[in-house]
Amino acid sequence: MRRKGGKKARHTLQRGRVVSATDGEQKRVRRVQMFVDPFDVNPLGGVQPSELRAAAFSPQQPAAPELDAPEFNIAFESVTSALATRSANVLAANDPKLRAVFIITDRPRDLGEAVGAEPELFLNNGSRRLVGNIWIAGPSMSSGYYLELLGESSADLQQALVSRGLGDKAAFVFDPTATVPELRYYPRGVDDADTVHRFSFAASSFSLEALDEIMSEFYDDSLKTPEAGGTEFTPWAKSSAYIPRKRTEVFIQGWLRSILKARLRNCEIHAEIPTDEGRADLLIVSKSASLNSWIYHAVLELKVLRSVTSTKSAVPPGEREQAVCEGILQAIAYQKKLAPSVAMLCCYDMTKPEHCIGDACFAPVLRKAKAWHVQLRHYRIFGSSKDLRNAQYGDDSTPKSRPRKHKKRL
Amino acid sequence: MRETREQLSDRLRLLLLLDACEAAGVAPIALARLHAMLFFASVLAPIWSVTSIDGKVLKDSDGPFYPDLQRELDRLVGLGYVIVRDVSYVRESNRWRLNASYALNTATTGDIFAVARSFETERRLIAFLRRLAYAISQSEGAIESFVGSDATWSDVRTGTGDIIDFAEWRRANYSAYVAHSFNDFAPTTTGATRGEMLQLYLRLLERRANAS
Repeated sequence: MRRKGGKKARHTLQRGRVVSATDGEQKRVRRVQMFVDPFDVNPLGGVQPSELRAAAFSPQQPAAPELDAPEFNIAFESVTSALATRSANVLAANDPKLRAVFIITDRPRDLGEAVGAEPELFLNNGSRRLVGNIWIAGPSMSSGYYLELLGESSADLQQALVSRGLGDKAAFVFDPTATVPELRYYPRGVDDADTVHRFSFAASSFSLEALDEIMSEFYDDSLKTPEAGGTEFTPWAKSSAYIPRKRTEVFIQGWLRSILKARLRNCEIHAEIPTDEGRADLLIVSKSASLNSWIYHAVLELKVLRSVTSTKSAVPPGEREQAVCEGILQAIAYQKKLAPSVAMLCCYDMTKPEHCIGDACFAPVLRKAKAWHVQLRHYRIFGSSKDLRNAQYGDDSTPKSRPRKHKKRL
Repeated sequence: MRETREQLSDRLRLLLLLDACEAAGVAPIALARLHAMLFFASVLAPIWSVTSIDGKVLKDSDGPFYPDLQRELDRLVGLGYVIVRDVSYVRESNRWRLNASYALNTATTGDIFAVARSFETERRLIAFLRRLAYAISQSEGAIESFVGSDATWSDVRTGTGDIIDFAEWRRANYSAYVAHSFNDFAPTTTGATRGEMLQLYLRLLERRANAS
């Protein structure tokens, strides 16, 4: 997904040195070599340089989904963006407290025409009331088809979908009547109402407390146990054996980005931005339109601790400790370079119960973290609900006592 | 009549483009818009590390038009893979032109996509064309009206009636260069995703088209 320059920089950091691996000039040279003749005096063609900056910093409503992502994440971001854009419209104050259903398909025309739905050209610009309707749209949600959703009870909703042959279609259901507005995803349709994934839809402004709340909810709803995520969202390849899926960091990062984007609506979430000192896993920023620049709110460095890799190779304890030590160095490097309000090292702990040492995984880096004001967060991901119960109530619960002694001190 | 490999390849690309239009909710797609999408798919393909559909195009005052691809599109209609709607004739610069809207016949093309998805190259092309269509579907204004604002098309060094060769014999893809230049304005001035490059480039074209 990303460029080679970032990878090189990461290796440089892993050796513990902070050096300048790439710069703007090198990138420009590479760009010229890729697309235009090196002797071309005007590689921008008919475009003026000033137009680029203006376009890059122009505000965009609705917020565009990240397109360099799986189609499901695009769909999720489009649905949340359409709902957020509508809620920002003054007319939304008059919207009734009714549910809305979104059926996202790559054949919206076929499905919409088959069930006799009405076409709607403006679906995501905030002008259209979304609640009280069943929407059929593509992942970008710019236009679609709709059917009126009669009745207020969940039975009415289920009946409305089943009677039209839509009961087995994957569906998002927005429920503004809940104490905290929420979005539910039924991957097998409402026919299988027990398989459901819940997302909070409460808007937040950026603060450390809000960030912690969103990250904790994401952990509880999607990661804590295999049941929490359901089959669509599991970070596991085989949870019972504590074998994580391939590229677990990318999976967690992608979902966290989508969730943060849905909740922190005044911010932009950038993922895996290469910096001179390595890679920031998630960057929370907002545009300073008057200055044509960025305000850096937070940098999150994500690390996954494993007992085995996705290819079932055992991971020695020293490697997990090394991952934490590298993580803190990266978080410090980003903080020095970008000066965000918050720098955070988040460890997603997918180790087997016998390898899990809880918060003690941060013992080797506590001093450094305190000195550089890096926040440390540990999220324990259990391979089964039984292990969660054992950890909470059983004899083999996660040790919460003294951290073990570490030879390596930073 | 025996089809050449190029003809079959063109047909597959057209079907994949129409698949992207269906997924983005912009189908059926009018003729001029379809050729504009083919143009943008060609100039922006390098952003997604995909080979351009065509490395050259005639700079015509009516916008881009790919005669070879149009011929194959007509054949796809005849073969029952593409549905044609709203057929009409429009008069343009003292000549008549056939106008129509095209959509995928999803009832007959399912097997073709199943086979196409089994190849890595086609999967990448599908991913790119769908994301381009998603980005286009979110733009305000018709995509064919953006062509005149495109960096490659609007370069004054190529006159109307000449061939714009941006990737056939020359390296002069200014559109991809400009899209890639958005890296310079991303946070930390170091990186924009491929998706951000597509979206920012189309936003630039939208602004330019609205200003002209």
